Amino acid sequence: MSDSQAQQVRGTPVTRRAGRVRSAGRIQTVMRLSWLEAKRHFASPRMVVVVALLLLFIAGGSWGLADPDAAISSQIQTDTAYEVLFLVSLFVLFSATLGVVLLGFDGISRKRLTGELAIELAQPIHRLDLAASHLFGLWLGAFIPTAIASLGGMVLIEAQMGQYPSAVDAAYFLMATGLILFWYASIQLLASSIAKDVGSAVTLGVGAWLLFTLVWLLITAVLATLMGVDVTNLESDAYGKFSELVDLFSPNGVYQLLLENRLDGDASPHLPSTVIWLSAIGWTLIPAGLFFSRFQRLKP
Amino acid sequence: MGGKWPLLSLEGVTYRHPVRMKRRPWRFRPGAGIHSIDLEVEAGTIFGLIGPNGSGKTTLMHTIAGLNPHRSGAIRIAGKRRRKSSWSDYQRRIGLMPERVNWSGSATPKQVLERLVAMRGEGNVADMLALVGLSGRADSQLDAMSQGMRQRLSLAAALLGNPDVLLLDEPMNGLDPVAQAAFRGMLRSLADRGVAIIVSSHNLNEMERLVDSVAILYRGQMVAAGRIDEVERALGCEKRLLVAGNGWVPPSAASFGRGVEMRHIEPKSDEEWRIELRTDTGWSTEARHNLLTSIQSSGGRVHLIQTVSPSLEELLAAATGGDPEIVGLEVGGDAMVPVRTWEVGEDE
Repeated sequence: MSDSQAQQVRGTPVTRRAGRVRSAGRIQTVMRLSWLEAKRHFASPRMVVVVALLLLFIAGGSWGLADPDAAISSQIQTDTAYEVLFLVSLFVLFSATLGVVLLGFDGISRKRLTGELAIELAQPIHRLDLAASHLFGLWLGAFIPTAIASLGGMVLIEAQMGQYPSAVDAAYFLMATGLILFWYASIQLLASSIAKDVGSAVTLGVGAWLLFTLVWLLITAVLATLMGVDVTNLESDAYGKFSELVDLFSPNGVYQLLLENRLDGDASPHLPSTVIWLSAIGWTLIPAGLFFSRFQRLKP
Repeated sequence: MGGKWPLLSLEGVTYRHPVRMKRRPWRFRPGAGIHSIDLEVEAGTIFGLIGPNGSGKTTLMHTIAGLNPHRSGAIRIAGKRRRKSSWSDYQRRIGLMPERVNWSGSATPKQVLERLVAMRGEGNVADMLALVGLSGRADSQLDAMSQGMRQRLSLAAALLGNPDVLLLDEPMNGLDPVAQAAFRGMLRSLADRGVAIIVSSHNLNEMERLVDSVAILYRGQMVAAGRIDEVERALGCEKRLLVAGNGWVPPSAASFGRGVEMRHIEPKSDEEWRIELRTDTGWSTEARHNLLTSIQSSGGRVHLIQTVSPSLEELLAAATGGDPEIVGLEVGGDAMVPVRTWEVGEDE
């Protein structure tokens, strides 16, 4: 009996190899489907709005904030290219996350309403793979133009300040931006899988964005008041520490904390990096996990 | 090659849609659905599912397609049961065309099918587009397509990978008569190649021209199944003969021999008469000839003789013992009350 025959009789190695081949095939399928989904987003009319937002906010913000003659508050440092990038992240929070909302608020609900979802769910593909392809497709659709706009922004920063951010800083910024877009993509698709009509899809999608982008400051202030933290001085250490804690429960807050982690001195966060990274892992796993779980039970 | 064999079989398949409870919204109770469905569809046949709105046609199709997890019973394709370990092989053998898919967006039919091919890992986009006559619109935007073209695209999506079982939910909706005729021809040629096709409709006349046998669904239950004429006979709803003429007016059913029932219908003019005749033995060519001879020898002239099929509501009324005018409008509630079922066979 040859080794391979013996292995076949014993079963395990051959089965393991077959399992690996199947897994590789599944990953390839997910990657291909994600790319097709992303291409669909690139070709959609909504992408025109997204690109306009990104150019206006990220590229425009980079140009304006890097201008040595610009009058920015004395408390905000813009001495290095990374510090400018950190400020640009505020515009990313406003524009790129809105881009994910625009592209993905009806990602599942529209297909459910039109009947396309029934056709997709009837295909011989694992639902987890299908859900992942929707998620990665939406993420790619939003991240690729954001990354291009951010790289363009770095070129504009160099044009104004005469310095590029270091390769590590640039990669770190893009990584954090990629993460927040992934979190928003998960939240949007989860909301869209819950929504059963266009109205509730818009309400849930835009509502989630409004909550973290605009309402979160109010929530932080209300919670601080309830917890006895002085809210009359937003620059105080006590409020700063409290708002950092509350920010761990907001994707925008975690994104800012991740970027602040690379700032020096007073600008760096009070919270230890481990806590911030644990929160980032939580935001990566929990909304995506909820979406996958919801998609597994989805009915057309 | 041998005779036809059951490619798809369902044994006691039950599925009920979960309905959120009003007082405890985190809990669900069983709602409407399908109950204890037994069905066998042979390879190479076209099988019709007929029933009014809410009778469970779509639920049954979705359950066969694996979209609804059935609570009890078994579904087999070529004798193999759908299991967790082999669900992919099962799904590969099924093609589903849902009712009225409203394909929309800036994507093209070609892109839609390419995505589905990537999911299936098999299929030829160009061949499918050619088969359904969409080659010329392969790169048109979905938003610019008519409902008929969208139906064709749904059919192409269902046919990808040459499935053994085709599930078509109300496929004629939105198709013009010419496209309907072509569609019927296409389904027949697929059946001739051994595909088992299940078509749902609420239009009995449409089904008569298309299917080999039917099942009548009512409130999630199958009340009768078999060839259409067998079902009609079993339910006492044989085809009627509509005869119109002038001259001699047939005075009673006795004029046409024993076992014939006659009903006068309001004529179009004073000189004309219209009658509807029914017999348990059906209307063979010979029976029709005898009828014509009888009328003509009595001095009457016939200018119309036409077979009339019973309507779906008549069949349902006969099957359930309900009122034909009510049974057609009624939509069943969530409660699964057993209804009478009819055994239909060759000896009926």
